Amino acid sequence: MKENSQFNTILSSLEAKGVEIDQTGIMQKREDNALKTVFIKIISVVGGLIAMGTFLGFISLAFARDSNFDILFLSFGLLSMIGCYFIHKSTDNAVRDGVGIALYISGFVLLLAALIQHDFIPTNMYIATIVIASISLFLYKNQIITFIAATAIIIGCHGLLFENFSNDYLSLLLLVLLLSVVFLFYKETFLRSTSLWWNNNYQAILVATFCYCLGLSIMTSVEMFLPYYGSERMLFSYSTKVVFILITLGSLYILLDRALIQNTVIKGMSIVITAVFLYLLGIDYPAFIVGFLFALWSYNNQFKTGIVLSICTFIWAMGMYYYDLSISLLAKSISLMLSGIIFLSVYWVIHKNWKQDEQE
Amino acid sequence: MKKLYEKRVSKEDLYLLKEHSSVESEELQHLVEQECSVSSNEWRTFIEYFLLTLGSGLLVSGIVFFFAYNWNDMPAFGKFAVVLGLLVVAVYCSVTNRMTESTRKVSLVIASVLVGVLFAVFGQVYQTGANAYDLFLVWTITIIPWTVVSKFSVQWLGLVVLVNTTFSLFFSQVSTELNFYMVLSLFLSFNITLFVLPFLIGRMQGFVPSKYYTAIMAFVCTCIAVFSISAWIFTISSNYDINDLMGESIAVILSCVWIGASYYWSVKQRNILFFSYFGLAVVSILFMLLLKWFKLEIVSLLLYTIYIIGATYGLIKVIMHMKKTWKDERE
Repeated sequence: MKENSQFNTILSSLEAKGVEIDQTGIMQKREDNALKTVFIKIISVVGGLIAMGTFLGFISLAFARDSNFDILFLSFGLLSMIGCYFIHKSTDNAVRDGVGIALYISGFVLLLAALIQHDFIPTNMYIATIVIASISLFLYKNQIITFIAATAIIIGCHGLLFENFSNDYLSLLLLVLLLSVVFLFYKETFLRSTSLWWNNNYQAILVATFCYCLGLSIMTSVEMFLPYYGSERMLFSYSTKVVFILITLGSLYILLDRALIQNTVIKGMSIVITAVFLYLLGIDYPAFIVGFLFALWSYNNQFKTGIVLSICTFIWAMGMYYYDLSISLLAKSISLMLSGIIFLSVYWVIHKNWKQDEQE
Repeated sequence: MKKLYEKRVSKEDLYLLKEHSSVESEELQHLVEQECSVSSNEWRTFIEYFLLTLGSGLLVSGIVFFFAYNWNDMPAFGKFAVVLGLLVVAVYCSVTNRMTESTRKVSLVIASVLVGVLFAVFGQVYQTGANAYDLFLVWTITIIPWTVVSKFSVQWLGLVVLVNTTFSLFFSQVSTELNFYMVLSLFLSFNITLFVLPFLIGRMQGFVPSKYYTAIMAFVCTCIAVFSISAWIFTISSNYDINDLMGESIAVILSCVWIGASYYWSVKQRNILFFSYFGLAVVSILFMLLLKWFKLEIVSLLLYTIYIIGATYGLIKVIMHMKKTWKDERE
């Protein structure tokens, strides 16, 4: 394999420079990663969820006469979490992914159930979710747990905002998530090469944030949820839109730089058409612009699943746009055709320019 | 067609150096940027494809929306002219040598979709009042010859969706007296046939269906098989009339044959995906048996928990082991 020999050459050149390399460790890890298919990850999570359900049922029935459910859930929850911690010391991948994940999910839910039994206050429950998930991010060295914990943290934040900030919360959360994903993409090399913790957890955190942000952008582009996306406070509404535009155009500027596009005309034109696209479709239908932005970043960071998901989001947004009854079909048609013509014109100009460059 | 990414060292491999070497952060950063960054040429290719797809997608959607806006006011002739015009263009693009092979294949898929639109418009204009089943049946029959010659997995997948939709509508709108097990047996038979057919036809055409087609179809067939066996496990025969259970044994035998065949095929071809589906099917059926044997009470819930944790562990262990063994054998 060409890539393998390239990798071995890099290792040899590093060793020649005096860098100590644990080749056995690297090969072992590469083999482990190659064996862990998506299927196995899905099996672990689904198995964990079913085991959690039956275990919760067992405790509820077994101690039905006991009035101290909160203490019971707390004890079993803590036991599961501790058990999971020790299981993660095992070198057997199947034990870690099969048993460890089931114990983790059960422990997490039991701890939350203890809180609900004790005194059900939604805000406290969301805070507890964030705290438990944050602790597990540092406690367990497992990509699947990191993914579950990162998702739980975002769900906790979502719930907190929903409880305390009414209508403004969705746009605020979407902005924060968008900013986080762009930051993760932008700083990938820096984060992963400077910190071991980031190196181990980066991919799981990125996937969790990316998927949630994409999902939220789809949700805010569905007519039913559109009222939640806007804010009644004008200043807040305008400022979030300005930040949204700044993130999009800023990202585009950085990406054009990375693509080594020096031509000022092309650079300027790309930014102008994206701004027009934002004005025509992206502001009211975030799924359009989030899909557009994530497709570009995913390509830059070679996150292939991200490219596919972004394109699917874009197609979904188109469907939702069609069924939006607040805009007339004529207005929709004109805005879509205009955006299409602008993109095609830019394609034509760029294609002509680059072809000329190649000939020279 | 230019490739979006050139072959290069995997980023994940390079990041392993962070944990398993004494390399400095700056040097690792430099190494990743040098070896794994997307080159200017790759960016150019991507931007061209991206702009072309986005622009044409938005423009076509805009045109479709425009017709939708004027649809009610258009005369019947106009409606047919629009759809037929698009169909002719799509068919032309799928047969002309001026287009690349991938464009021709995509055009054929578009033409297949437009055939359905044409039938729908026909039903709308002439108010045929037919069952939705009729529309899908005619649509399916029309695109079968195109699918057979297409050598394109997406086209085959489209046919699978249409066949399943047609039969679902047939069983719910026309043949409502057919019993549950017969319906399951027929569904499994259709899907197994559609799974095998492109491989058989492909032998004569030098075409092998894509991996995603195999993965999706094998998953669908396994799901139907497991569902049939589970239904059989939970059916209490004494509660039903003998006619209601007609086809029960056919459904179960067919399901067992499919699951057994998938195991045989996975071992013969060293196909880990088939093997994983087989493992999952066995674990699920055993779980159904546990649910049947032990009534829902305290001890059985604990037993379920232990079984699920054990089965998840066992399944992962076996899949990883087989994957490693087959990989070593290949090398």
